[in-house]
Amino acid sequence: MTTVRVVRPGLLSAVQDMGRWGYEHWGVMVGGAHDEWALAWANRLLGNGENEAALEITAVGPELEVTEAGPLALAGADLSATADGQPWPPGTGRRVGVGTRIRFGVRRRGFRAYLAFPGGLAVSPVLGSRTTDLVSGIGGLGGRPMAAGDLLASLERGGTAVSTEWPTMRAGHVLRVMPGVRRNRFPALSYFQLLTREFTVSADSNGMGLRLAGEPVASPRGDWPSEGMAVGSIECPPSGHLLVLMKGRGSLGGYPPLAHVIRADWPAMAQLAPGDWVAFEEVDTEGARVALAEAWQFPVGEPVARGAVMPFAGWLVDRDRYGRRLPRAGDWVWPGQCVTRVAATGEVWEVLSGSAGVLDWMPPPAHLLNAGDPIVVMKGVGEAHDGGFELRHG
Amino acid sequence: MHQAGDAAVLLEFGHGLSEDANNRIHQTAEAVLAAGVPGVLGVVPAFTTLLVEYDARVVNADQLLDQLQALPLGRGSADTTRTWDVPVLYGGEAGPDLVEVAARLGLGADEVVALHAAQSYRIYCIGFAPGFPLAGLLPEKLRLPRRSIPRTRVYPGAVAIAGAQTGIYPAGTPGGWHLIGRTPAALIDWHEIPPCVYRPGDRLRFRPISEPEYQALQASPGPLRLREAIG
Repeated sequence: MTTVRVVRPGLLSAVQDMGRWGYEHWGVMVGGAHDEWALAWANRLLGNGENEAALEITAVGPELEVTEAGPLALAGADLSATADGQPWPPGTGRRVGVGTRIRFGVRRRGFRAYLAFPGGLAVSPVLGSRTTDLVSGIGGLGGRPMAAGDLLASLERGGTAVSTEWPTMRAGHVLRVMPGVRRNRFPALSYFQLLTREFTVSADSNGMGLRLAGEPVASPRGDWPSEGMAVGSIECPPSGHLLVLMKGRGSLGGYPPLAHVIRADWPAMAQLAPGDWVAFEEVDTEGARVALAEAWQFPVGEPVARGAVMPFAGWLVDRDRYGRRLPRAGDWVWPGQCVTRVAATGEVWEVLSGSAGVLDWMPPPAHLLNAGDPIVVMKGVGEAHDGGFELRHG
Repeated sequence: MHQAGDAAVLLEFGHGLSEDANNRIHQTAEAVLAAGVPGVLGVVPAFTTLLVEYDARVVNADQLLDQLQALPLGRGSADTTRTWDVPVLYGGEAGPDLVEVAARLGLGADEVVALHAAQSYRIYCIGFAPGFPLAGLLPEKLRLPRRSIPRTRVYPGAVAIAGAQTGIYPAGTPGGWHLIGRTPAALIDWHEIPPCVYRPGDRLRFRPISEPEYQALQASPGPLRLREAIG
């Protein structure tokens, strides 16, 4: 069994699987891995089922010492992991020997990393899940965060760990939403504000939800009985400061939801850190369906490099039509997302990605460019429309 | 039916709060769980609505609604309701907000206790935290808006009121309700399924006890469980 001993616990690491679904009618929260895609990736690198329990590492990682050799796999955020000083990038599995020191350093990208063990971590399930519920004090390591001296052991022995060239998280800033179930309780202006403003993830965010700083949104007036709140709901308290509910939320809430982050973008939501900007874009039911089918894929093989060039002489605009930021190199983009805008005299065009993938390179903004100059290079997933990018007036 | 994003639908039952509509919510919730509808991840029955969470990779909202409408309703709690006796030490350290609550309501502390314990309360739903019963309705004389600044941690067993609701905090969670007393009973037992003895539709009856009685109950070996009220 691959086993590690915790030397220093870091900020907050806890054993998580996909969550304790099915008991919310008793008030038991779902919780579980916030970035389900990254957890699934970590497990896949070891040949585990996607739902096996792994260590969710938040922002500041622990120091671990291997006490029994075996394979491990890391996915999700890049927290500068090393094994005996050797860089250990997310998306790689490796065999670790006895005495190996696993350390984490500076947070480079994303917020939550996942360290998977062969067959999953050996902790007892509670109500069918190994998820740590810190509120109820159940699951994982006795319902508490990982602490110095803890031993973490795998359920199975051996196997091989593989690696991937693909990113194992979807770190983007634009989350897709559907209209809120209680949008009719809001002034008409509120939803427009949500879809046109840029927000900042506040430092008092936690696993329950992201608190968004920024100009307050027009809030509803009234008092309604508490009701079930879907994960991804964007609640609006009287203050107008939005709260995006994540998997660690309580099942009942009292503030009406203005919108809901679609399931395809829960992984991106989980990788936002305090201080990050975030913006919202509306999709309809069909758009959400297509997005989820696209999002729950685990690309294999080499990433395909795709690029776009200036269609005419002009310059790049690094803001969207509402003045919000646009993606940068390193960001994950979804099909149809605006990656940059190009402008010539009196004309502005949006450059939309034809596929999902990671932006690799973009030129600095506001430079004059000639027709044919490269404006974006990305690692794309699968087939792409229109050679990878599409122009749209706006 | 309303779509609550692409991972849940919210079903509304009637207009406003009624025991009848609330019964149907719990019967439907039970039926959904019992039927094992493919793709359904969980249900959140509340006062006037039922949230059904699903995996859109397995089922879509329209298919889900068709399946839900075809379900026979569960028996629910309607014909099996029980009334639970909740021993409570009111005021003092056990109920730090009692004096302020009484002052704001223009009542004496003893009047607040007498009013709170004079009737039983229906559990409309369980939520916020595991086993937290949201019960009501409080008499008009006892209704106060919740605290403007919630506590970051409430002690387990705290008996609390807010608006028309009363409830008990089973564990040390944050909370914005007014704490008027404390029960020595342990509400949650993770070795049992379900982990709390009461169900939505059941009733809670609060019984004032003295400090010595509280101490005696607390000193009894093993966790103290709620019992059904007699008579």
